[in-house]
Amino acid sequence: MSAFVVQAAAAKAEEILAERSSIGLTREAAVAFTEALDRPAEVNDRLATAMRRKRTFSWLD
Amino acid sequence: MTELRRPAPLDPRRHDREQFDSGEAALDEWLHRYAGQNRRRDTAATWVIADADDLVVAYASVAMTGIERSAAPEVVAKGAPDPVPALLFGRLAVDRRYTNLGIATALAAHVLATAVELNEKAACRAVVVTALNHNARGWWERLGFHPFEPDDPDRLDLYLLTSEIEATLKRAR
Repeated sequence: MSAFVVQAAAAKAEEILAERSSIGLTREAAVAFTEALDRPAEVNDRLATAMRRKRTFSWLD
Repeated sequence: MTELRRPAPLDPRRHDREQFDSGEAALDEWLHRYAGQNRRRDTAATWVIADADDLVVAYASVAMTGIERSAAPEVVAKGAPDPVPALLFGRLAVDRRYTNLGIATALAAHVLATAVELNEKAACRAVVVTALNHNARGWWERLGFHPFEPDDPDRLDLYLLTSEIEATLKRAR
């Protein structure tokens, strides 16, 4: 296969993945995801830490 | 210090995206050629962070999706909605000349806040992403995302619940 064909195929695969209108889960994942959805809202410590990390750029606007 | 404009929807007439170089050919190509084109059926919205000259330094594409639970009939039998409405974080790329400044995190934070807003207005229960590779999966996990299949390192789909985003952002305020 030519490099162009490989690249085009990769781009197509990327597009399909990036714009899926549905995400299929395995049975185990569906059960675990449902349990997570049913739990009361919790603070996510990793997200909180990431949000507190200092930025080394500033906003113009 | 580098100064950048806050995340804004891609405006093909204003934003210069020709020079964008993330090092991932498929991601660069998509931004250069396809983002913002109607003929791509408008299945994804593109957000960008640009510099003072409107040169794009980072972009994200987001789309609505649904998380299918039909593989677990016991869940669906209980009347749980299927699919679960969610936001698909399709792409996230930062120009190589601008890495390690916290730009990707800032753009991700913007998309997560969008999910909270969407959830209030039209139901959006989670944000989903497919990591590009193992390295990227680690990055998303450090941001708080949970793998759908934690025991299988080859699976690259991750999620974050809108409820936890909301609880976390509320506390940070």
